[in-house]
Amino acid sequence: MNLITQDSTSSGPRFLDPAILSKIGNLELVAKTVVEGFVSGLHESPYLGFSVDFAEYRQYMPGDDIRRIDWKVYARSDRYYVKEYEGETNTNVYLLLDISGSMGYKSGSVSKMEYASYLAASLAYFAQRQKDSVGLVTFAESLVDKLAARCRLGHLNSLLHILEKTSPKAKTEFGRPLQALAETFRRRGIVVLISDLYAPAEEVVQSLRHFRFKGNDMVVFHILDPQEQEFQFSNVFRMEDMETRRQVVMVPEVVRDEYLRLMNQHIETFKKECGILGIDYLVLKTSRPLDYALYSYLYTRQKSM
Amino acid sequence: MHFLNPLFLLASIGVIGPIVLHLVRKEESQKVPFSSLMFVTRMPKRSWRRQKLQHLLLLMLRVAALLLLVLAFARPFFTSRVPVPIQSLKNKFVVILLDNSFSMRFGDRFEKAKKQALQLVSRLGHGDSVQIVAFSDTSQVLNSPRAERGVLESLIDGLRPSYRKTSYTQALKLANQLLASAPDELREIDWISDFQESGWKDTQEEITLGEDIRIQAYDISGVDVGNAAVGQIQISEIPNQENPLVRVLAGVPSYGLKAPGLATLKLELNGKLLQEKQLSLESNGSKPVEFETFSLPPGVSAGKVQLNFPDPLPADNVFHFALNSHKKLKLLLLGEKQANNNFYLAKALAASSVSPFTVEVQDLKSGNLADLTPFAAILLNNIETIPPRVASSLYGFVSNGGGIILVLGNRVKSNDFNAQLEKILPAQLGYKYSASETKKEQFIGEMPKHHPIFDVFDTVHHSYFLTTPFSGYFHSTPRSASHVLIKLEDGSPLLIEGTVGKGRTLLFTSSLNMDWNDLPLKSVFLPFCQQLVKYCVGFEESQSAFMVGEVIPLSKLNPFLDKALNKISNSSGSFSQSWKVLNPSGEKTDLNDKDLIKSPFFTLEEPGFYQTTVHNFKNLVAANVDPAESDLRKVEPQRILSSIRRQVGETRASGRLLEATMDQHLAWEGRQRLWWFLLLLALMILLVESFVANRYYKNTAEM
Repeated sequence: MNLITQDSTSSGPRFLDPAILSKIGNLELVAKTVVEGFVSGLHESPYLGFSVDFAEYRQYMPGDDIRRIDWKVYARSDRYYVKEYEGETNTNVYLLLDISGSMGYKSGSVSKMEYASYLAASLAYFAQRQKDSVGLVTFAESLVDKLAARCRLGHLNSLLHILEKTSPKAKTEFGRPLQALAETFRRRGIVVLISDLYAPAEEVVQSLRHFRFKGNDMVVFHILDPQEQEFQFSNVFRMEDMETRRQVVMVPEVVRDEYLRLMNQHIETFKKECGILGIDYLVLKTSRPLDYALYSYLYTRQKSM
Repeated sequence: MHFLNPLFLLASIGVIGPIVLHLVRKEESQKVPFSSLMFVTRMPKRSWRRQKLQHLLLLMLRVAALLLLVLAFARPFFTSRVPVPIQSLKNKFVVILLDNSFSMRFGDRFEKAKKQALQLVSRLGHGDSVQIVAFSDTSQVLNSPRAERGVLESLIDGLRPSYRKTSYTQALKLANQLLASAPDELREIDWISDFQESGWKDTQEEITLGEDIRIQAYDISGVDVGNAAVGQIQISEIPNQENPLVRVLAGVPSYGLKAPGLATLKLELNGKLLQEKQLSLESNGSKPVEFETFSLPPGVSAGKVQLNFPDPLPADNVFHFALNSHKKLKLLLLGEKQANNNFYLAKALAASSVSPFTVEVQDLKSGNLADLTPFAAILLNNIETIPPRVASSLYGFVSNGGGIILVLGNRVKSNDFNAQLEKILPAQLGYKYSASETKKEQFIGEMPKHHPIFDVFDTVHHSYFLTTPFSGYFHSTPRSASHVLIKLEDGSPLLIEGTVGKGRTLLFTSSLNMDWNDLPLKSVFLPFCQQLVKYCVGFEESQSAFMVGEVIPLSKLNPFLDKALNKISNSSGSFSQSWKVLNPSGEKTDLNDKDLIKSPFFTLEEPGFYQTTVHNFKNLVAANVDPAESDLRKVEPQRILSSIRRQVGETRASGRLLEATMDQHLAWEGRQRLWWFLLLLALMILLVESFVANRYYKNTAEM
C-alpha cells in the first residue's frame, strides 16, 4: 500500500494524506506509518539531535544493559563504557484530546475526531520511540479517560486502545476539567492540547495558563475542518449544532463573511494569547498531512530540552 | 353557539392543507450538522432565524385565517335565553291541540288546559292565525284560521271534556295537515295535554311533521294521583228453558293509589241492587270479583256494576251493560228417521242447555211439512226424495231470509235432487264418488281459515278436518253466484255457499253421519255444525256493552230500526217521528233521516244507556269509557316529541328543534351578523400573513 501521496499545498511525496490514513483502520499502524515516514524524511532535515544524538560516555554500572556497552571503546581502553544519548533524558508528554460533539464534524472523508486521533497516536508513537513517557487525557464537559504518562512497553497499546474507542460526545468545556487536570500534574513535561477550541477564547486561555504556570511546555493543535475555515456552503439550509442540536436557518451567502471574520478573530485571539504565554499554537486543517504537526511537536520538544 | 349552515364546518378539515404544506416545506430545507453555532449566534439576528418559530407563526396565521373563513361561512350565532318575539319575525300559524279525552276530567285538568289555551290565544299577534283542535281518539277543528280572538275565547270556554280515550297520533297528523296550508308562515303546534301514557304506548304508527314546525308541549297533568275503576266485565249468558241465567265477572284495577283501601262493588239490574261485594284495593293491581249467577227477566235489562271508592275520577267507577233475553233459535232437521241418520247432527246442534238452538226433527215420509215460519233454519239431511210441495215451501222460506243447509248422503239421488231443488241448490250435483270402487279415499285439499264458519278453529282443529278421510261424496258444479268454501283433493267442492233471495243456502256434498266419513266422531264436529247454522242464518251474539267512541250499525242500536229505515226510504217519508233515541243524559238525540239512510251507523259518545224506541219497541245499548283511560300514568312529552320524524332530511325532532325553529335561527343570525366580523378578522389575518410571509421570503432571498 502506498501511503505516500502528493499534497497540493506541500512539496514532496513524503507527506501523508489523512484521507488515505483513514483507510488503514488500525491506529497503531497509522501512527507507525506516519512516524516512520516522518523520521525517514528527517535524514535530510536540519532538525537533528533527538534520541539518536550521542551525548557522553559513562562508566558501566551493574544493572546496565550489557548491549549498550561500547565494545570499541572497551577494545581501546579495556574499560566498560556505556553510551549515553540525549534522547534518553526522558520527558513526560501529556496528550489532551478534546472529544466533544463538535469534533465529530467532517466535510470530507476525515472527521476532526479521526484526525485528532491520528495525530495523538502519531505523537504517542513518536514520543515512545524517543523513550518519553506519554499520557493521554480525553475530555469534553468533564474528564472522560485519563491514562498516566508511562514509558514501558505495552503502554502505547493502552493509549491507542483508548483512542480507538473514543467517540465524540457532549459539549466542550475547558475550564473545569483542564484546571482540575493541571492540579494533578506533579512533573513538568510537554502538554499537547488537540481540540477544535469551540469555546470562548478567554476560557481556553485561562485553562492553558494553569498548565503553563506549572512549568509545562505546551503545544495547542487547533483542529479545523476546511469547511469551518472556508464556509463554502450554498443554498439555504438548516444548520444544526452538533453539540446542542439547536437549529438555525442559514443563508450561507449572507453569513459567510461574518462567519469567517469571527472565525479568524477567534484564531487570532488564540495566536496572540498563546504567544504571550509562550505556547506553540498551530491551526491544523483536517486535509493537511500530519507531518506538519509532528514538526511542530519536535520543535517544542527541542525547546524543552 | 349555533350555526345556520353547520355543514360548512366540515371545511375546517382544510386546515390539514397548510399543516401538510408546512411539513412538506420543512422537509425540503436540508438539515446540515455543523460543529458549532458559536459564531453564527454572535451574528446579528436578521442573518438567521429560528425556523420553527418562523414556520409556526406562519402556520398559525394561515390556520387561523382558514378557520375564521369556515366559521364565517357556517354563519354562527348565539341563541338568546329570551326568545326573539316571533311576532317581530313574520306572521305565524298556530294549531292549539287541546286534549279533551276522558282522563282530562280528572280533577281540574281540563280547566287548566283551557286556561293554558286562553293564554296562548292572548299571546297571538295581529296577523297571526290559530286553529283550535279538540282531540281525544278523534279530532275536531273548532274554528277557521282567521277567527277573532273573542270567538276563540268563547269556543275555548264552551269546551267540555269528552268520555273518549286518548290518541295523540291522529291529532298530530291533523295539526300537520292544517299547518301545511300555511307554508310561508311560522308554523307552530301548541300541545296541551295530560300526556297520558295509554294514548301513546299503543301507537305503532309513525308521526311525521314538517321540518320547520315548532312543537311546544304544555303538560297540565300536575302531581300524580291514584285512581281505581271498574275495568273489563265478562258477562256469560247461559240459555235456559225459562229465563236465561247470567254470570258476571268484574275486574277492578287500581293505578298508583297512595295506600290500599277498602271498596264496595255493587251489581244492579234494572235499578235494583242484586249483589254487593267487599274488596280491598292495592296500590297497583287488579282485583277480580265474581258475582253469583242470576236469572235474566224477559225483555231487555239494564245492568250496572258500580265501585264505591273515593277517587277524583268517579265516571270510570261504573260499568253499564244491557242484556236481552233471547229465546233459542228453532231449527228444523228434515231427514229419514233411521238408525243414526240424524243422530249426530241433531245432537251437535242441541247438545246442551248452552246451545243457542233447539232442533225439531221431522221425517218427510211421515207426514206433511210443518209450518216453517218459527224456524230460523232448515237442514235437509240425506233425503232421498223431496216432494215438489216441500221444495216450493223451502224456496219460499229461503227467499224470505231463512237459511237452508243441504247435507247429502248415500240415499241422495243426484238427478232427483237437481230437479227438485233446482232453485235452491248452489251447485249442480254430478255422479256419486265411492271409495269402495276406486279404493281411494279423498281428503280435504283447501279450506279457508278466516271465514266466519272457520274462524273459531285454530290450527290444530284445522288438522282434524284435513285428516278426515271421505269415502263418498257427490261431484258437483257450483253455480256462478256460488262460492266454494271447502274443496277436496281432487278439486271437487265439499262445502258450497249460495244465496237465494234474502236467504242463504249451504251444500255439504258428503254426509254428516257415519256413512261416508268419521267427522261426527271428531271434536270439531259440534262447533262445525253450529257454525254452519249460525253462518247460514246470520246469527250474531248479542253484545252487552260497547265502548264510548264506537260506531255501531243502527241494527245494533235497535233490531227494528233497520227495517223501519228500509220502509221509510222506500216510501220517502219521515220516520224520525216514529222512533227516538235518548242518550245516557236523557236528552233526545237529533238524527237526520237522510244522513241515517246514507250512513246507517250511530256513534256512542257517553257512558251509560242509549234508549231507542221504534214503534213502541224499546231497546238499550250500554256504553262505557275505555278502561285504558283509567290509567292516569303519563309519558314524558319529550319522549313523544323525540320520536316524531321530520319530513325534510328525515331528522328526528330534537330538543334544539323544539326550542327554536329555522326561522328563529335566521332571525337571530341576521341580527347578530357574526359572520361579517369573522370574515373581516380572517381578511386582516391574511394581510398579516402576507406581510410576514413576504418579509420572510424577502429576507431569505437577501440571505
